[in-house]
Amino acid sequence: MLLAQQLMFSFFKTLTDQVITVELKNDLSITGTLKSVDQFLNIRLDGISVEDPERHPHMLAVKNCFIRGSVVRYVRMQARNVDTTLLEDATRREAKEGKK
Amino acid sequence: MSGFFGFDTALPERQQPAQPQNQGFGGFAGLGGGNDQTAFSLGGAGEEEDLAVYNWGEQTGSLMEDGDLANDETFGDVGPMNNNFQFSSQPSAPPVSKPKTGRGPIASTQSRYKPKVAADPFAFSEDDFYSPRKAASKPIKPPAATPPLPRTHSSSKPQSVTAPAPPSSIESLWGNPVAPASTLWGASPASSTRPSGPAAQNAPATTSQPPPMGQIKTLAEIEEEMSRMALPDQPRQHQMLSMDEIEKQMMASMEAAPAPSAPPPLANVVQPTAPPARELTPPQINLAGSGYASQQALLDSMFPELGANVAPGATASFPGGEEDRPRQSPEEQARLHAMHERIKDKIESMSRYNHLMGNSDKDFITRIQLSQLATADPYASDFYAQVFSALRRRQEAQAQPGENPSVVQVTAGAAFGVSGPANRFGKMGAATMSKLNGQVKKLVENRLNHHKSNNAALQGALGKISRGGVAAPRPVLAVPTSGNRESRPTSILNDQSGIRRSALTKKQVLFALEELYDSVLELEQMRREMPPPTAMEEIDRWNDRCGMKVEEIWRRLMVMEPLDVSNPHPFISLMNPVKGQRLFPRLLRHLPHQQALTLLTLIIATYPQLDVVARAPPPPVSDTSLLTKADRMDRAKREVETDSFLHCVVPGLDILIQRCGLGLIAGLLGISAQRMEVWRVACTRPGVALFTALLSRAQSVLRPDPANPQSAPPPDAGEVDQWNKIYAYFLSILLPHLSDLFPSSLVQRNAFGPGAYLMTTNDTSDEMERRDAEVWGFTAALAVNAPEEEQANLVGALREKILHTVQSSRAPGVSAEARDRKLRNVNMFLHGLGLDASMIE
Repeated sequence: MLLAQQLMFSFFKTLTDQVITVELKNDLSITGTLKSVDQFLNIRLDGISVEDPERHPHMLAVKNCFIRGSVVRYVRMQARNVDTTLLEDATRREAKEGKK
Repeated sequence: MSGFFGFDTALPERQQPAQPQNQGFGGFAGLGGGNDQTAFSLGGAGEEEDLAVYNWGEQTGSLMEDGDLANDETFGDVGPMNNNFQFSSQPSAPPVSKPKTGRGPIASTQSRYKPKVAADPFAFSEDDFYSPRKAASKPIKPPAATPPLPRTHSSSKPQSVTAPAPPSSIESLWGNPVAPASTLWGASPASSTRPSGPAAQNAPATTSQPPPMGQIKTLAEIEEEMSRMALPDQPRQHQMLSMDEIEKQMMASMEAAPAPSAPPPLANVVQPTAPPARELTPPQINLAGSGYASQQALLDSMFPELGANVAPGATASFPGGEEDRPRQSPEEQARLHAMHERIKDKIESMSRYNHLMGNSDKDFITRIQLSQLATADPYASDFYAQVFSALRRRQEAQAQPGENPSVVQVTAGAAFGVSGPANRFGKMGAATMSKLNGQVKKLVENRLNHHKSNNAALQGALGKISRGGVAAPRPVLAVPTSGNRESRPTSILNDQSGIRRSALTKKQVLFALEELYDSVLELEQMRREMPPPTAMEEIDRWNDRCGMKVEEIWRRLMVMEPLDVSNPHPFISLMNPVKGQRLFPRLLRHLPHQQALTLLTLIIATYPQLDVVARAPPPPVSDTSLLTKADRMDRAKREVETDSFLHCVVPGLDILIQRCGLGLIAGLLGISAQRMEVWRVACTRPGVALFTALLSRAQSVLRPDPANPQSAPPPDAGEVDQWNKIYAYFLSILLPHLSDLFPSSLVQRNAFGPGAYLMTTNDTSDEMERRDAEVWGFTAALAVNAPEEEQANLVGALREKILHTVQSSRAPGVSAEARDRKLRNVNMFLHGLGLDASMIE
């Protein structure tokens, strides 16, 4: 449990129950409600829909999914759910901890 | 054993390929079913040649379906086709001639050699995972018809040892409410001494039926079988006895009771061959937990011959019980029967939810997961979530009086979203939560101690040991970094000294800002950790610490530097980047009033040095196509800075100004009049904002609003006088340039020549209108403050502008909103004079 990892984990914890879009490294983009996240940034999404269903027909019947953290490329969320000032502060703290 | 594991190693005769071989393995020749032209016939047509000629596919007509006669020989008899298929490879019978069929030794893959009891790799795990009974089932093969072997054991040994450890649970592997499952891969030691139910079932019912194959017998089992065979007339008792301790005690009392008659009535399961003592197995299953099974297995491996002797108590009482049996049967039978029933039901109910994770299991695992996340200080590692949720909670508490938790705090160190396992934790009572907290604390301390001890161990080594983590991987180079950042050359305090310095470089500015941020964060964290109001000393100490921190911030702000030490003033340099502007209101909150006023004075005095003032962006143009890209970007950047300034800094200044008395206001206005070109500053938006604030504050002081409880006490005459003087001076220098303040005028003025294309149309855009409105507000403040004679001057200066605006508002092609806006703007000013736009023709 390293402190540096905790910032992103802490950040995602505040995003639970929000709609996010996760883009994976295999170019699959999934939109869903963030249900839970863990320290490895594995993501559980509920009620998902795929951006480009034609390219990924195997996802038609999938409603919820668990995404391993290491395959995520981007996570997109709404700006109003994020407090950027607070995020900056948290990053500063994290950087100081790392330097110590 | 003859030949190769019972196979007849005699080569098949090539000349008679069609004869089905009955002894030993007939090879494939026999499958031809007598057909000379079988595909498998090796010796068929090409006898003359040395090569084997294969005739596959030459057979016309039907499929070659005539090899089925020897299926039994190939596959052996696996028993009735139902869900009780025995996968294991227990040889079906001891290697003696079987009365059933006339075939020879079974030509199957059954191995006569059993694996070492202790070395069986699979059974233990199966044992531990599933109920031991599942692994424990082994087929009993006492075909009643087999001739009894000479008994090697005394008859006192109850063969019942081998009692079929009847089905592990009521349900079989396949969901059928019967069939004891057998070991998949062979016997576990535990199971070795517990022959399976099916065997038991088979035994009584179909004695001629070979025992389910696929079970590897252990030495113990063979012994059991032999002993069993010796007493073919009492198969049931064996099955009754079990290795279970409790059962033993029970069995001690009801030794021989379970006569063959007892089990059959109990048979209520699929198998018509009511496996005797099936009702005993449920207790065995549940009570013999994983550890128990392995323990039993160990015992069995140590004392294989005692495998049959599992119930010493029973053994002891066996002889006695034997005699009592006839007497007991009538009365005891019913009692025992009832007892069996009860036990069976109880076991069934207890084991209904076996192999499922219940809530306690899930909680257990969740606790383990939480312990991984737990930390001693929530703010250290979980800063964002904690503060975020606190903020949201406060917002929602203000917005709606109701609880709406966004982040549930479970323990000191972990929190989950509400959508997480909230329900489960909701059910946790206070006791469990406190227990959880205690455990978390223990875990954290353990981890800390463990870390400390690790470091101590490394100190014996030579040289420095650095363990890299994820955040700080082991550095390849060891670069010395001094901890004290103040001593670094980039810090301005160390760089130059003297009356005048060069302006701070961008790098210095940014470094200084970061240090400032760190201080502010530390201060805020300190303020969060305010000790409870009860402990006075702690509060004092805490206040001291906070005070020191504020001092540090003040120092870092460089406000006290002499006014002209550099251009721009260091503080102004700090305020130039957006980062600094955003920091301004935050630190303003922590500064004491006096220092805040000093700050205000400094800002006003050095206002023109601000980037947003000195290099204010020109009014926005609708068409920027004629500008170079660099120009455009530069303008955009400046706009952003200006906006940020207006958004962050100016409100703070406003608040400060509101706290000032008239004397201060007068002083500030005087400073600004002296130190800057007022009109030039007033052309900028920040300038307009500043002056408007000053003037309106003065007005509110001069004409205290009775309704407003916060209005300052009426100023004394001296202050008023001073104010008037300064204001007059201010106005005088501003008046000539008044009309140029308006952004729209500016644009028009610059619209000649090639810049004509940059000019906006008469119908000015929203943005321009808004900016115009700011200026109009300023003029209104001016008007309000102006004495009578000056008002005329004011109107005169703005006359054209007013007329122009009013006329354009009355122009035909103007939209309603634009007209309203224009009128409003003008009226702002005119009302200050007691006039109105309607009065103008």
